[in-house]
Amino acid sequence: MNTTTPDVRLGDDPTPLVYSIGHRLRLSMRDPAIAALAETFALRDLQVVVIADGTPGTATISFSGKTIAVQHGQTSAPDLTVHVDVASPYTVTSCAPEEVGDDVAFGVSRLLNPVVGDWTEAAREFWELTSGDLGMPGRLIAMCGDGQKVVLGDGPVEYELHGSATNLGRVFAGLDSLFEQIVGGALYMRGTMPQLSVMAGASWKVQFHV
Amino acid sequence: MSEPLDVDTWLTTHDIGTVRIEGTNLDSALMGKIITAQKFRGAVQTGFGFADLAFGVDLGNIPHWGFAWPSWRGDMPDIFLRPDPATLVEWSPGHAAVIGDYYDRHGSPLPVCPRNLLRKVTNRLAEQGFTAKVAIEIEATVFEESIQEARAMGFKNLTPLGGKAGFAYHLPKDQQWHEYMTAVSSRLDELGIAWEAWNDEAAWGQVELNLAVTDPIQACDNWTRARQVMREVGFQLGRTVTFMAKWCDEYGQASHLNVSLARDGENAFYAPGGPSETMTHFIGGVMDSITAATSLALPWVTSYRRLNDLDGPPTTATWGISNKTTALRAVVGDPKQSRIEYRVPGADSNAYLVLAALLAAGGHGVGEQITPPAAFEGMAYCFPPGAAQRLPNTISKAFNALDNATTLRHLLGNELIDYWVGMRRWEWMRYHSDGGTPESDITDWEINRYFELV
Repeated sequence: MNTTTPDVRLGDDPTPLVYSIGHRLRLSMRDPAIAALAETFALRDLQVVVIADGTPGTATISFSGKTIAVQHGQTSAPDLTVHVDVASPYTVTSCAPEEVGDDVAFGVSRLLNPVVGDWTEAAREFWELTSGDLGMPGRLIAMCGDGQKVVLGDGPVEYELHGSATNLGRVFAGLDSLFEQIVGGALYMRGTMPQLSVMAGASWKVQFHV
Repeated sequence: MSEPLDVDTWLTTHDIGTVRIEGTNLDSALMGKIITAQKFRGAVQTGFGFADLAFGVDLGNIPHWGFAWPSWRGDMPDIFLRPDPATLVEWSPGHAAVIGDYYDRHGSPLPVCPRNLLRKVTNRLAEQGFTAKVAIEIEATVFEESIQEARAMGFKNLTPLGGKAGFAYHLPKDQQWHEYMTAVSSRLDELGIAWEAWNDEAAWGQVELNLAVTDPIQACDNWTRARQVMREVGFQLGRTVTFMAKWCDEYGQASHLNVSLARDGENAFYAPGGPSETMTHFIGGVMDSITAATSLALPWVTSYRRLNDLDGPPTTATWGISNKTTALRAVVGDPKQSRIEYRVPGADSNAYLVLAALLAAGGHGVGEQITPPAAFEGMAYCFPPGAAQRLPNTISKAFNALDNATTLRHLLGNELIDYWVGMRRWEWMRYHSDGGTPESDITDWEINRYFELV
């Protein structure tokens, strides 16, 4: 059995939607069961168009061999077209044509919505990718509503995030935007405007990381 | 060198009651306040406070988020516009205007202030023994409708002044077209802004205004004031003007920069029979940074819509002698005319900023004696892939190129580049969230965001 997971590749000059889909697919490939699902799609050379409702964005996911390619725009003859709600969560709201089958649509939904395991582990990965960036606070303190707390870094300048395990995990994993979650009241913070700006950028960096 | 202006005497002599203090931000928007002459007298040395948001809000009136803010930005502290008395002018009876530079609260020049940056680069050139001479071309489109009518129409289906027939240099335009540009040129004369020519340009309703050659700061001060004049004359005559790079599928709008260096009063770009050594190395420096500088020259999503082969604007990172299809045209062989023309900048770019990048890159080339690639021969359009490097053709490709540019970072400063790249990335995200796709025709989002403000 070939154990290598499919490689996620983006087209030239990716749009934010393409980056975001690429990131989600890459996260999904960590789960062997989901990676196997992608391989079954590749056996069919499946092409899926993703339409991000509420935005102008569209993308095409092409499964072939050991590669999942994500391109901007819509291929002319997709096997499946799905509409997603890009607001949290990234839910498939409808698909066409119906004869492709609910199982495929469900599979695409699973691929686009990787499960976040331990939020503290996601926080550590977030910190690993972003802590060295210009302007980042020296210490990130994430506090969960259940009392769990993670302290990352030991610098003198602190930034605090407060929220549920689910919301913290989704932001740290790059499934939701920190900025949108704070503006929307799903997360809370203690810090300055410049810190919010740089943390928002760090969050987008993770969301677009492939 | 002229004597420093006695501001108090000048205000009294001209019977000035109010002063408009002004300066461009990175988006080339003219920002400022109207203050009393008394208030002006009291703080002309220290400067006038503005919220940091003067450099921190996008054209949709939303703060830019998503990047590290420099020390002068924070929880809305003040920055200061310090007037340059040499720019004082009686704008209208009893009302003066003065251009300034932005400083932080500790009195240090704001690294993102385009005028400060240009002065710094010009001083660097002076240390190399050169003075720069600059002439700026302004292109704009004028419409028959008033600004109120244009706003009510959502800036769509407007009527180009002078009609849709015609082509560049077409003189038999209607009286209203001549009336507008005559009023503009008369107003420039009143304000002491030297201009050389104006004409019909290629697209519907499009005009070109050529400002006279002068030093870099003066050239850009004239540029920003001439644009203000074109807007004000439009308001007075019931017309609308836009500097958007492209508002319809017609040809776009540029702002070419013509530059030469002088040493000891002589044109250092001139040599009999071709570019001088100085000009050659200047071109070498510019070519080294021309891809990275594209983001500064083409700041907006719409800016890139100009870059179509055969439409006139350059599409490749090329230079050539007397070749207007290249990004950098070298004019050679004449002691007065020898210069380079940077043909990439859009009408929607900030001349202070783009000129600073151009002079910094060129001066670096002279200092390091950089040899340019061979001059491009023939038409720099429509050739096979790989024959010449293409300029970035999207806002995202351009800001990524600038982000990775070590030379321009060194020359213009990391703070400016990081701030600019953050702003452009924000603009890219806003477009893809609310505007359109890479394939969209000009969107309502662009029209609403750029038409009146860039």
